[in-house]
Amino acid sequence: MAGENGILIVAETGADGSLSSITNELMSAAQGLAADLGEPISAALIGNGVGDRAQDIINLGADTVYQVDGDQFASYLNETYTPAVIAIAQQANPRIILIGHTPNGRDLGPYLAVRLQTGIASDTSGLSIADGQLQAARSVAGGLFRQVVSFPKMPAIATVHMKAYDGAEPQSGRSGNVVNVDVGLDASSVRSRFVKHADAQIEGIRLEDATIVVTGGRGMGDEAGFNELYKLQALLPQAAVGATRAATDSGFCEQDLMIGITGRVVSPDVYIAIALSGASQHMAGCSGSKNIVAINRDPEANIFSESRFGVVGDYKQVLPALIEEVQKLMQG
Amino acid sequence: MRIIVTVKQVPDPEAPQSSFTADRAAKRVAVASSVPAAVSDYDNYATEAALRIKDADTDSTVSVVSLGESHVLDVIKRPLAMGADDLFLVQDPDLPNGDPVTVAAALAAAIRKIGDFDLILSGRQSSDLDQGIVATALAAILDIPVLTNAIAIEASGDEVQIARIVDDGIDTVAARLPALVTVSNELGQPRYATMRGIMAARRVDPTVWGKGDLEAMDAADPFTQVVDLFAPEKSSNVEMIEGETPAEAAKALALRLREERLI
Ligand SMILES: Cc1cc2nc3c(=O)[nH]c(=O)nc-3n(C[C@H](O)[C@H](O)[C@H](O)COP(=O)(O)OP(=O)(O)OC[C@H]3O[C@@H](n4cnc5c(N)ncnc54)[C@H](O)[C@@H]3O)c2cc1C
Ligand SMILES: Cc1cc2nc3c(=O)[nH]c(=O)nc-3n(C[C@H](O)[C@H](O)[C@H](O)COP(=O)(O)OP(=O)(O)OC[C@H]3O[C@@H](n4cnc5c(N)ncnc54)[C@H](O)[C@@H]3O)c2cc1C
Repeated sequence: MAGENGILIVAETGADGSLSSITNELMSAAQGLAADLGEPISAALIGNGVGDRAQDIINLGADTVYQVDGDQFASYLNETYTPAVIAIAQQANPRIILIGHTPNGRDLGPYLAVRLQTGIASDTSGLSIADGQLQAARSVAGGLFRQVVSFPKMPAIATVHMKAYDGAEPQSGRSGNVVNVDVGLDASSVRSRFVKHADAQIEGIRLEDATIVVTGGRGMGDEAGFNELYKLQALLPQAAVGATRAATDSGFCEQDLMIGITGRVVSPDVYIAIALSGASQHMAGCSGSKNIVAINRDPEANIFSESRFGVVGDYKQVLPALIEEVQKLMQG
Repeated sequence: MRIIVTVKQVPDPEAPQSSFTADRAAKRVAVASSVPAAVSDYDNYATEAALRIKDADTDSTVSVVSLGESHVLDVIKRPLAMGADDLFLVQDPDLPNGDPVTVAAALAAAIRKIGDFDLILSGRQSSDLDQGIVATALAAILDIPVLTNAIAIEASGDEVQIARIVDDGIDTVAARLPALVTVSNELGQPRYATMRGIMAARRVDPTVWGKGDLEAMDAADPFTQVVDLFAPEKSSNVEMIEGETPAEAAKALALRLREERLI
């Protein structure tokens, strides 16, 4: 195809049908690129009964929303969403497609790239325009290096790291076009099926929504040691507990507390990192935090070089005293 | 069931950070020769997933395919030592430098040559480049369904069913075989190689293919190009909080955080 123009973002909705925060982030990434190119932004909105979300996306800055609505699209499946995005891309003919580096976006992106005979860069966190085309920066070797990728073919596809961009703010009453797209999907060609969804059993607030995260590493020693973290968390407003992979693999806590390149990505105001070394794979999930506070008995631990505040010491001595003092401050 | 596991050999990601440097001219990561090779982390989990299926259905066979410039046999035979049956190595000095879709195309050609299969298992992403592209692209090229980030896998009859972590919980999805599944570490620890396994692995002669043995090996036009690779600047300005005792330091930290209105 020739005449590619503009940026297409693939919107995501949550289980409750509202737009996921990654949609706002993709929109703000797209806005920077659109301004450089002087080209429009469109969005792909796919689901069942998602019509009401189209105006929400226009309010975030989309000029056109291409909508695929139907019960075949009630839940994400690679085999139904890939043809939906292809049908949309055929109409929108974008220069660039941005997808969230979310569980479903990661699943969709490469399949789409092969079908569209084009290139993809994944988990990108710095998008720019060079010579009128996309350039995408991404971390490699667990975050030790940055790689910048260019795209000889169009559309260029990038999946975008969660929280790499601040979400676009909605402006109510913006105007834009809504286009219904018919995918013409042949149900007999679909070889996979969605079986069920189970909501995460979370007590308290989601790690991603916490303003303070208290994270423990291997140095917590055992489950009982790790559980001390909850005493600090309970004192702090909007706080949640996280873990390194060494801590989850050692069975100190549930797997889904893991933060890092293969776990959750958080960017709280305060990240309290206790008895963890600050491996690059871990930092990939928390380096967006506004203030990192490290407690580690090894003064050479890498975590200190990533932190704003640090205390050298055994957590078994530091943490109880910290809890006691925080309790006093919170009461007083 | 006929299972194929894709396994990438990588420089040991747990090696000291100082052994990795940015070769800006070559636009790739330069790895000190002291760094041992390792099986890419998640590929051990993919192997484990294959062997669990084989444990339950002992007629199953597990073949391993790996593509690289060259391979360290003792390392790339680890899946065999864990219990896999045979090993196919595709070696080409240029291809591993290709973009992930090109790598996937070469793996697809190798898998077509290996023959019929029911299930392909791959890692969710590699330990060095972390792109998480190759396996999904491979499924697209082979035109089979793909299910990603499995934390639990059940293969029976003509279907594979997996559980996967999504943003707000856990989804269960299924695909008709043949299919490709990528595996995450929540699956559970990969088994160790047994002494017997290591001995058996020694006796396996891998099938080695080079350029020319496979179709589609020539990466005509790359789909992506790396234009730069560099080490990001790091500026540390940590404020170390001290005290007579660790408890005193903790107290000072709490007060400092309050002063900054962080707690
Ligand atoms: C492909 C790949 C993906 C990965 N993905 C992730 C990921 O997503 N998330 C993740 O976290 N990791 C990930 N890892 C693992 C990562 O490389 C590190 O191994 C891991 O983060 C280390 O965890 P840790 O800091 O808890 O443990 P260690 O590195 O062992 O550090 C423990 C720290 O605790 C300190 N300590 C010990 N005892 C005490 C004490 N009593 N008081 C105070 N300090 C103490 C020590 O000084 C040390 O600094 C990944 C690795 C690979 C290869
Ligand atoms: C210009 C450029 C620079 C590069 N620099 C380097 C470099 O410095 N070092 C380097 O090693 N490579 C380099 N590559 C090579 C190339 O990117 C990778 O080999 C390939 O793209 C795999 O991507 P990945 O490692 O992110 O795999 P992912 O997509 O993350 O891998 C997912 C899964 O696919 C399977 N898989 C992936 N690759 C293979 C394989 N080769 N054999 C068998 N199974 C596999 C595994 O099961 C793996 O768990 C470079 C590529 C480009 C474009």
